[in-house]
Amino acid sequence: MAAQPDAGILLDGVSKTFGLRGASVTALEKISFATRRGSFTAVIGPSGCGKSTMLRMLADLEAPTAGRLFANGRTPSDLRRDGKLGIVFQEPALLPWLTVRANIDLALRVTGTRPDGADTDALIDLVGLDGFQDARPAELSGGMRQRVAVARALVTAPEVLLLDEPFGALDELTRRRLNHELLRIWAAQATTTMLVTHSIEEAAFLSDTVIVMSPRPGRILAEVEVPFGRPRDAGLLREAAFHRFADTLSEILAAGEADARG
Amino acid sequence: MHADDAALPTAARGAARFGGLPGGAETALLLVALVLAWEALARMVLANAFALAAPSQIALQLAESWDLYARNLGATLWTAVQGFVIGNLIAILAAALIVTIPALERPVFSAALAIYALPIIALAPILMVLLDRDAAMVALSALAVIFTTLVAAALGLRSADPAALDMVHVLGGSTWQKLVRVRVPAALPSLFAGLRIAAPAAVLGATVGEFMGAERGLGVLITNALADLETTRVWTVAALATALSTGGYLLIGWVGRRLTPWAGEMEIVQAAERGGGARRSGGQGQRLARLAGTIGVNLLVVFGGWALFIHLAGLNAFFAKGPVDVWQFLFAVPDAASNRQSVFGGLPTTIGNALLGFLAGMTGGVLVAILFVLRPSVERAAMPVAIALRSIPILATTPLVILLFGRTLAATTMIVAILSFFPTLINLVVAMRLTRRSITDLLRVLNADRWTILWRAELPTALPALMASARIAVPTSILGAVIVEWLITGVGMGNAILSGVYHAEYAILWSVAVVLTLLSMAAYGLISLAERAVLRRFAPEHLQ
Repeated sequence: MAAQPDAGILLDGVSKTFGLRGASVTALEKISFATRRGSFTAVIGPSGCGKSTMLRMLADLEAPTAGRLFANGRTPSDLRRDGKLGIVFQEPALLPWLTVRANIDLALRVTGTRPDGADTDALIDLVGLDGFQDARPAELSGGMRQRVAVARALVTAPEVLLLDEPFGALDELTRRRLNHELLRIWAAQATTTMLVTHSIEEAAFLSDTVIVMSPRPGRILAEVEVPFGRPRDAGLLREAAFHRFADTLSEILAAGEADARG
Repeated sequence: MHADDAALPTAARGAARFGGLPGGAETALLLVALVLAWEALARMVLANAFALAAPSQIALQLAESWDLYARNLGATLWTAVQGFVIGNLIAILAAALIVTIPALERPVFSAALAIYALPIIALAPILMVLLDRDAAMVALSALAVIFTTLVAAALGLRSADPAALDMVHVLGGSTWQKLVRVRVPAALPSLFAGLRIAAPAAVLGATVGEFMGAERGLGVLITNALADLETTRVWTVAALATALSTGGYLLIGWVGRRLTPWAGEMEIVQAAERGGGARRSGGQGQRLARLAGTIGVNLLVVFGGWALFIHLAGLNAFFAKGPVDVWQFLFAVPDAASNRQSVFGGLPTTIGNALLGFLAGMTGGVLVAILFVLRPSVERAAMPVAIALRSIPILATTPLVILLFGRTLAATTMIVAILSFFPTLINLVVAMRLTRRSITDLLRVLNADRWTILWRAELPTALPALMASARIAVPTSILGAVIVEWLITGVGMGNAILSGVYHAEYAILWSVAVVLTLLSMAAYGLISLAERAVLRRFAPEHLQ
């Protein structure tokens, strides 16, 4: 299976169990799905459904209790060792003592690349932070900090991009604007991407496939193809078809919650 | 919000890491190994060196002369308990005062800093003649705890969550209810972090008084044993002093944890890190003006407080010298030049001793903290031991190091270094752990190796804590150097105190006390300035 040239993210019977104060908690149970290389996949589900854990396993930050994971035909740990992973967390995770430019260059230095001023400047421009190269995080707004985090994730030209509610802590307007920009940047690079989010609208707007998860222990309720073509713009958010699609996702989520309550 | 799946492992890890009293299996093993190594070293390698007593010999000694040890241990304990209670009451009241009346913050803080900077070893002979001997020892013990408790209590009283206060307000709660239901509980974790450090400090204050001459107490016992080269007795007293000091530290820590089960280990660092006065940002001109103001207030508090003390107490003029008397003694009387030589002649030696010990202690603390962070198994086993040894009293380390290494510069350096080594180590380890998980995760995803994470994220995160540790360690290092000079090596400012006592020349003692206080405050101030520069760069959110 790892040999398929168009393989994107692939989970094969992945389970994850945590020990918590003596008890064991199953976060994910036998998750299997496959996506295409270069596609954008969103994972939605209620709090505690294990979606962030799934992403952390793809980032090689956690190991599965059972099952295997691949991205672009390689294991997460292989990709990480080659510096081919990019990640954005809900919080910007910037080093407060470094400037915007130095924070972005940090990703290059750590992965063993000499920072090229021009590339970094182009990225800073791309995420709309031109003129703030030498500012420190404390001088930036929340939205601007998150743009820095996005630029830092992209500067290494990763093969696999992992987004863990990247704009979840921002206000709705900023969030929409950043989503549009993210889509524009992503379309230019066609990186295999997985987004974890609470937001149905965000998932529907950004992705090719939405994976809907049940409450803990997390299982896949549905794998839904997003029926909208690309490129997409803000107009899509106002279309009736978009709202019908979002309602479908909501119904699957609600049915899953009702099942879980018994 | 993000109490999502990722929170699970964090909570689990947190419960294991911040879990209560030292008592893991690794720690127990390490302790057994240490005691066995100690026994072997004493019995085999150093058997005839009159330097090291084996644990079994100490146990035997305790069993044989239990009455003697119990009597003296009880005396020191009683002095320390009185000093602990009085000193902390003063500190908590002062903290309540400055939180209620912010205008008083600067002078009260200056006074507390002056008391912290005041080397109690220089004050001890003066208090001994001015007060009743027992009262003097209690006073020394009380003075030793005031500053740290004041800083911790003030920090705690200010740490109430404004939203919680608003909530009580909206529910119609009175000021009293806000105090009892919100402010006091919020202050407890930080307060107990301060009280915990105060326990060994109270023991230190009590024993310094005993060094100066008391009827009984561990300080008396160890001075006599050292003079008679009674190795086993020296080690036995040192073990008891350590048990007293560490026992107090652990007991207060245990009480604090029982009362504040919600508090994290973070408070230890915060009490040290964020305490120490306002940290305002601003332009360079403003900063210079503020610096001049701070220096002015400090000088005014030191000299004004001193003159006021002499005036109000109406003390015997032979013993009690005011600023004018000391000025005349140093600069006006015919013998002024030789007086200056008696007071300032030893200053370079003392500064050298203090500085060497300070640098050695800080360096050692940083290196071992890095080892702990890189090797979690070492940390799990050794951190509880380090926390216990944090309160090892100078009463114990001084004779032991001298027995092992002689009256050498290396021995002085080591004794002074131990004073700053353990606090620095513990503060740094805790501070490095506070590195944001998202940042270390990010670096790991980028395939950073352990050193890169340490160098790029953990060490810079801990830099403010390092600066705070250095700031707190400076007066302690100067005090430690003078105690060693006074007790063992007979040089430097310690020698000036000896000669002041010997010749009953109280102006020398007052001069030494003032010079050392100003020196400590100046060094504290210099490090505070450097600390602010570091904070501006590395933790701007700590600047107001």
